[in-house]
Amino acid sequence: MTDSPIVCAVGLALPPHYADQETLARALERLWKRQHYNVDRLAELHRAVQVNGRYLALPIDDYEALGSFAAKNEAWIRVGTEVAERALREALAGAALTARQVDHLFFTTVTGIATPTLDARLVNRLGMRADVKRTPLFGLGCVGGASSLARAADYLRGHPDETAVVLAVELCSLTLQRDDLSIPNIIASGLFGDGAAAVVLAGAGREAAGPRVVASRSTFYPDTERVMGWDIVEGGFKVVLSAEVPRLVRARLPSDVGAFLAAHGLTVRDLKHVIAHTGGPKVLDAFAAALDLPPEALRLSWRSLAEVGNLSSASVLFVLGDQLREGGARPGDWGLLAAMGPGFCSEQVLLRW
Amino acid sequence: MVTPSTANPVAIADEVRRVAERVLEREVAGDPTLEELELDSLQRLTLAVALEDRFRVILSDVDAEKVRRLSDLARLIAERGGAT
Repeated sequence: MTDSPIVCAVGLALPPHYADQETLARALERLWKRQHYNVDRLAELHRAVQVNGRYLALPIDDYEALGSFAAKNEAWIRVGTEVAERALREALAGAALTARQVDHLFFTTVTGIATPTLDARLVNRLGMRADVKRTPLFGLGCVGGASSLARAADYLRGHPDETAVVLAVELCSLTLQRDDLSIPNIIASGLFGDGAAAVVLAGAGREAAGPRVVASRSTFYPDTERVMGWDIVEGGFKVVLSAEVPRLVRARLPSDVGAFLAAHGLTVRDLKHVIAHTGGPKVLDAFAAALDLPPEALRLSWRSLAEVGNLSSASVLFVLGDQLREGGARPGDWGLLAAMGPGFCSEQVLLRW
Repeated sequence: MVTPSTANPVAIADEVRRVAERVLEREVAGDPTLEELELDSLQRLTLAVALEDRFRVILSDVDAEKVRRLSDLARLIAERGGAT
């Protein structure tokens, strides 16, 4: 474990335009009526995802004018860079580091595209070193935060004297397809929110405090490509969201987690902290059932879901941030951070305080 | 205008099953109860939306208490004049 990288600090940033769930449902009512017979069902669907509200990249009235993919993506680059900068500055401050001390910047997103990528823009904004290494990772979706954390830790095992930052930026509200009134899109419109998270990790050779990333495991589920993802349409990203997700969680997670923990001489009962991607109510219920967890085990994930919605790759890092701030972890405690996403696949990260 | 007297219960029952298969993304055989379909709250809601859209009827919570099987749903929709 002494060669395990250390999670030093997490920075979180939300865009400023908060809208509660009822307001969001009302804003979508006119669209809903175009295709659906019973307008009351829209608010019911939005209530069912157990999200109280979301922080939006733009004021709610500005979304109607966002027709083209170009307009949405332009907003994504502009607002994404802003929230990314805030999250990154907060994380660096938490770790008592300057931007010039970052050796490797991992950047994950699935809600917009840019070249140069947003991490390049942050190198300029924060004045990072010219030899900073950048690894942008597009398309991992909800698993992206966990996967990037695991890949950053892998990197630091080979570069123990370096510092890496994982940055996840998702502005899901900018992907809403106003002409897609399918149930998956309506659920997505009620579930997904906007935000950015940054995690500073230090190699084992550096002086740092925080939980160590002891190990990680990726698991790919063959022939599940249509479970979750995007179809690319004229207006941008159109959500693919199958009803299969909770069933896959229930079916696969017990054996996947059991095998991963067993490889380290542990069982679920040894875990003091479970940091789960917020998914949605069905996914969190399935996660708890699959691991036979007591209700309070996923308290921080449920709270994050209610407060900010599902932030895709950033969600699990938001829960990690909350855990570090208020989780009451003690030296020696074991924790599991886990997420699932398009592929379909899962990523588990074993933490030890 | 489709009225209860012109609605075809057999055609409606077939269509209810097809809608359920589409919503649940799996085959639905016979006349299962909703419990047997293992619908969670969101799936029930999604099925209600799909049926309301397909048949142009409103299904209420009061209705839900009367529905045990898919055939109960079909009967209810037929009574409401659901269009096939």
